[in-house]
Amino acid sequence: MKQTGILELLGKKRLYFDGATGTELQKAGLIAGESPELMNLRAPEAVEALHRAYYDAGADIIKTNTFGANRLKFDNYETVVHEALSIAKRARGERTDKFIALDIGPTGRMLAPLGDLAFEDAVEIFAEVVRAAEGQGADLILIETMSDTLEMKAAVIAAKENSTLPVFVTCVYDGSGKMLTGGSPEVAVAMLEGLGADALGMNCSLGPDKMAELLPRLSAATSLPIILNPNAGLPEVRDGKVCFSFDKDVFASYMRKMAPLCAIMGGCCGTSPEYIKELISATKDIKLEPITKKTHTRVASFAKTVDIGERTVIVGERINPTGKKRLKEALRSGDTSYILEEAVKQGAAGAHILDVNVGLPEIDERLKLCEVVTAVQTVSDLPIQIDTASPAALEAAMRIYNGKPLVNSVNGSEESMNAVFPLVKKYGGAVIALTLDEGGIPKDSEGRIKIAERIIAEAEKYGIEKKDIIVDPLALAVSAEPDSAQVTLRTVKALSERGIYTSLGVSNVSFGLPRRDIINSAFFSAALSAGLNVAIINPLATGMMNAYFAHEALFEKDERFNSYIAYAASVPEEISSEGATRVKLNGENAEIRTVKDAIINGLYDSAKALSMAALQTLSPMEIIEHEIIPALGEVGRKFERSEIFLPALLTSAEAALCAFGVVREKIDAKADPDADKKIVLATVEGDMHDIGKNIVRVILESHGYRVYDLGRNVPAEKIVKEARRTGARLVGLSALMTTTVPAMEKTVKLLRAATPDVKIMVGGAVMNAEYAETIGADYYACDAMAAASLCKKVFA
Amino acid sequence: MFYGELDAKDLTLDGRELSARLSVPLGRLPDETNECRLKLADASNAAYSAVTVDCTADSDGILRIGDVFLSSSALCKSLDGCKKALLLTVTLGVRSERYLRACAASSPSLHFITDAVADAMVEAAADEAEKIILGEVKHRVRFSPGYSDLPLSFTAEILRLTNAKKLMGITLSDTFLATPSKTVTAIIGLKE
Repeated sequence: MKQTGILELLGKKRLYFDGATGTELQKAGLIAGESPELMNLRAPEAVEALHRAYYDAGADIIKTNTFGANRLKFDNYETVVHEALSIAKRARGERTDKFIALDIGPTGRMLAPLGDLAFEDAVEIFAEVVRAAEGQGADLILIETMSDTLEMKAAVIAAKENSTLPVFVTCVYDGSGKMLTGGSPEVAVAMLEGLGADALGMNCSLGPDKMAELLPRLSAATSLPIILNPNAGLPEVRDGKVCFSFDKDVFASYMRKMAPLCAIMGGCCGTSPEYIKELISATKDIKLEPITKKTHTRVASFAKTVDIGERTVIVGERINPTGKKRLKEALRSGDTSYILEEAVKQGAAGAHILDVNVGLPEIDERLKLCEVVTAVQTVSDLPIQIDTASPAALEAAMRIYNGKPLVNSVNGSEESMNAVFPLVKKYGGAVIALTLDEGGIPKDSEGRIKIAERIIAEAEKYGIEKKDIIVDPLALAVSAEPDSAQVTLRTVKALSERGIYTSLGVSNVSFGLPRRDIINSAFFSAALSAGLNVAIINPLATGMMNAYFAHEALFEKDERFNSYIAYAASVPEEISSEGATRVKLNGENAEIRTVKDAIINGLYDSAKALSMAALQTLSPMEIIEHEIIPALGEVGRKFERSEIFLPALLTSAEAALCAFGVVREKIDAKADPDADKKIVLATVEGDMHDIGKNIVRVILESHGYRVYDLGRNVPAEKIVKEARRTGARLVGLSALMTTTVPAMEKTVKLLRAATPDVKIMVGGAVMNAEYAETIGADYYACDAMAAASLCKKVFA
Repeated sequence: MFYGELDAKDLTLDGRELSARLSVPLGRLPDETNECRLKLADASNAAYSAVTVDCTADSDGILRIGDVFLSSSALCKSLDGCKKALLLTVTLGVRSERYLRACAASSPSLHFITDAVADAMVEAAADEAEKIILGEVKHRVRFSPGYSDLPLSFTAEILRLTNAKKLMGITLSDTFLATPSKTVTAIIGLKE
């Protein structure tokens, strides 16, 4: 396909889009309730007249009347698209200096996981439109009115995979500068530049006055030409009709102020050919400022950007099964809730980016990586480092990732660079480059730097800039290679002096040595001083975060020590010499001396710290029997007497869980008396309510039961499978809606057939004892405490 | 057609409603409640959309609301004497949904409290939207699908007629659960 001349004009002179289509077609006979796109078939002359009016007003580019033309809205979308392009070509006539943009608007559906439209379905819907327009005369593709970054990505991928036409993208922001699903101008820019868009900007929702507030942010973020297509102000109702607040003169005056930064200007709702004419008149003599190339290294989630450079960025490493038994189990069993807890905890502990690695030989890494990346993005707005050695898994995850990822990793081997760089070029990303190649890892700093430079040079051939390559000179185990730490640190320093960003998997250095935390935090401090930019660490390790915040404070990277002070205030209290933790209770200073008291008062940090201290003198079982269980007993009695209520019951249960977590690590699995007290919990298929089930889970876990929580909207078959896999003796089912009770009944039936010895407990707002019996359940639990009592009976 | 955005921080939550949802007596809200409210408000992009429709009932008690026909004696009673009704959709927004899911992954007690606050907050948002749209117009109380014999399926019609999907990104599952989950749909009979 031939490239158009529009790219040659971009940035050299200002171009002008047309204005509104829908509101103008209403004046031209669009029937109330009729889709504007259908006028291509019913009244093409009206559409042609509108296009011609915009061209005559001076617009360089008109948008085809295909905003909503896709298979979700029109069975005959192909005909609509073909007619739209024919009309546009007739309107353009012989004017070779005029362009036609294939206009693509949103699907009108929300993409999963927030909505019900699968990502690949969205890509295909957009792709169909692009293919329908193939060879029909469009000069570029305009993807507009995007209010969700994931849908935006689907549309751009569809355009890029099915056409060689330039791709322009404009998004919708609210007054606070956010898209409907949270994206900011900076996020959109990071994603769109990575995906290869040719120009980007804003349209709709806001008038030029409000867009003027966002324009500086867009300009500071992007190296691409900027498009601005505002509404004609805010909609108002005058004499029963919807009008817009700015007339053409006011509109143009606002646009004039923004013109120096805008390579393409036009209008959206409420504008007309007269507006465009006035806009052009007011701005044609205003010089277009040259676009400055931005040099930041930036990764993004759907809502946040993280810059790599001046301050060291922390990548939380805990979602990686290497050496993590519990995580391996969670990956195998599909216990996403554990993984999501790790994601949230790391964010709360100060991670800026989350590493996601699911590499286990016995699972389908490609599927699992996509599943976990998507799931993590439902609970965390931190950017993700996609960490895999499998190119297939990497491609799949980069494709569905909602943002611009950090990719871990590429190395200096031909095979690796050939596999990874095309993906980075297609989907966007910054990439960690390991200084090893076919010859292995060089022993010295110079060897590693040579590999780094070679990787950077090769990346440039793919159009991947040096700023998006972050070199990892590899932290090796000093126990095996005593000088390796020094070599690594020298390499970090040397790369830093060459203006190359660096990263390290810090904890590798201590492998094989006792008290790894001590070595790790010392090495980390040294690496920070050498200029390390990206640190892949465990942000829950206090020693590491102490080193980080201390370094920032000491090396003038923490203005007024704000971050350090906030961090210092958040560090959990150590045990005092008197064996107590100091806390605030009911606004007063207090000392908590026992695990039991910490649990009764719902103090997680104290429960954890005191449990660790107690292990020095008591056995794990003694702590469980003399501290945790009595605490829960007292909490339960207080709850029954209405001295405390559900929120306090929950915080106590969580504190008990913290204590259990510490103590359980010291219990030999074979000797653990609770090892077979396994329960599967789920909210049934079609039901998204999980508060009650979550409360049951935490109460049961705090009583020592091993709970496999499958989450919500769980098909019956999955519950049966998990009951079989875990050998659970009890399954708990929750349903909150009358419409989902049939799913509960189905699940009970399947369980009876497949696992006849398993007991079934049901609960939820629509349940009662009679109905539980009717559907064949063994027990009905009206609340979490009732569930705990039932479990005692079942497991007696 | 009405559409507007609301600042969730400015919404006043009903103390009784909040206490009930938190399963605590009035005046015994957990200490974390206000902090949860502020964080939730910060995470929300609350908005409403509404449309006025004609409503009639025939002699068999079949209601016609806009272009929808349905049977509900409870709604019939609520709309008795009203020739028009306001269909309203109010939501705390897609961003609040993400935040609640993050709370669920973080801490059950935090999730429980924040979810209860969110329920009270969306009702407060609906109160505010009513005030903005209806002003001094006399009207009946808000009536939502799922109350009494008004079928849950009517939710789909309210979302359609208020253009909620396009304006606010609200979708509905096969079991009539809205996403974002903190969404209220209602019909309000207008007396004038």
